[in-house]
Amino acid sequence: MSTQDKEMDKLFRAKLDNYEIEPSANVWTNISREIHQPAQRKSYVPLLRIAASVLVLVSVGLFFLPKKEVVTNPPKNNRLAQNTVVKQVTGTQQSSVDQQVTEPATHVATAVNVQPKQQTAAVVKPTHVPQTTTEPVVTKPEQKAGEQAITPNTNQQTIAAVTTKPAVTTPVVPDGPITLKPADDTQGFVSKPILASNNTDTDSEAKPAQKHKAHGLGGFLNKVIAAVDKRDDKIIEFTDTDEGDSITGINLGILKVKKVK
Amino acid sequence: MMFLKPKHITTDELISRSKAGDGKAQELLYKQFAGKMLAVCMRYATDRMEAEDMLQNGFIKMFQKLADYRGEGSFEGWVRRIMVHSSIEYYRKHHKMMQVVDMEESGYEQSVNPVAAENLDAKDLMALIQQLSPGYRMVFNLYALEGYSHREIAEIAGITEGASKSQLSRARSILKEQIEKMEGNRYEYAR
Repeated sequence: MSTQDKEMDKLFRAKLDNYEIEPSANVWTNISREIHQPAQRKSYVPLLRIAASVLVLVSVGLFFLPKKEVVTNPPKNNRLAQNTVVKQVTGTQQSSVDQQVTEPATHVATAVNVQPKQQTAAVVKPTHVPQTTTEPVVTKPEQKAGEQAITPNTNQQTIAAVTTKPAVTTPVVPDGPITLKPADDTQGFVSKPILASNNTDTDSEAKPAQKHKAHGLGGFLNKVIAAVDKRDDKIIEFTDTDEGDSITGINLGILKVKKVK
Repeated sequence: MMFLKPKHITTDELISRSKAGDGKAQELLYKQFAGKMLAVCMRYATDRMEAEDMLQNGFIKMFQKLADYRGEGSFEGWVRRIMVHSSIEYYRKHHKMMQVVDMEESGYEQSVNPVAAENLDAKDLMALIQQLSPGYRMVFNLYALEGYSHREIAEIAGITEGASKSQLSRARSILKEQIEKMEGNRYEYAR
């Protein structure tokens, strides 16, 4: 390589380094679309369908388990318990619980795929709580924090958002079998949560059954998400607002949005 | 047309806002470098349309990788590297192979006065580069303009170091010839 060559290289560099050509307007449009709505989403769909159908089967299976297991769940759940508290004690718990459980089941048919998954998770999760003595206390702050309700619309949207995280689906399924355990402690449990929920704001809970389930749903979702997403800002957060239930936080890594009250 | 970003926003701020997903910041960041990067892509593309496709892919990749950018080194250099790699990848995907066509030797001595090219502007030089066969063009771009070594070029282009060297020297002699021709023509008209 001669100096002449180097000179020529240098010349080309000098003239071309700052050379600019203005691109067509549609280039940015395409870029913007791609980074905010990655095409990769499409590839998750088949996986979601499989996961969803598995979850539907699991939740239906759980639905047919002996009532006792089912009963333990709602007491753990903020809204469900409160709903029953207002009316009565242990007696009707089963029926209202069944109602609660059936609601999600019907939602399955109408709402997005992942919903049953959420329900199942919600149903499953509370069963773990029995293992600690402080659980009523534990559930209480959780309830307070998880005071939310979601309108079916946002529910679907959020579920859609949540479904993009396959990780959320996996922990739920293995938890299925564990629900059998607490069956014995049913009686003890039933009472505790009731007391706990007595202290919480029953005013806000004196709402139509429909809204209650939404509350419970939001609370469920928050709990489920908390179990999976260990970050401070969850992938999605629900909070009760004046207008109703809504999403107040989303954290998808590259995109983070959070409402500050 | 030069892009002038709002005075009170620094590039660093645009970068961090873009990382956070701020659409407007992303657009401004794109606008700041798009012109230069399109010029880079033009060197690797066969035409303007292909260059814009390369530009699009390059920026998409850039925004996807933005989370990994920790501020080490020049941001423009970082974007440029992504653009170059993306352009070459695009080219290889859409063209069968890096054709190297040996142009006929004109036969006269190449004691070219490099200063002759001084009179040529960026547009002319760009045209000269685009006239080169893809293989020569790529090596010349990577070596003379991007500053990669022959070893790095061999890795990027999938050729041997020896091939990189010989293609570079061929590219250079062709360019010199073309410059001479251009200068000669210019001179003719100037009379």
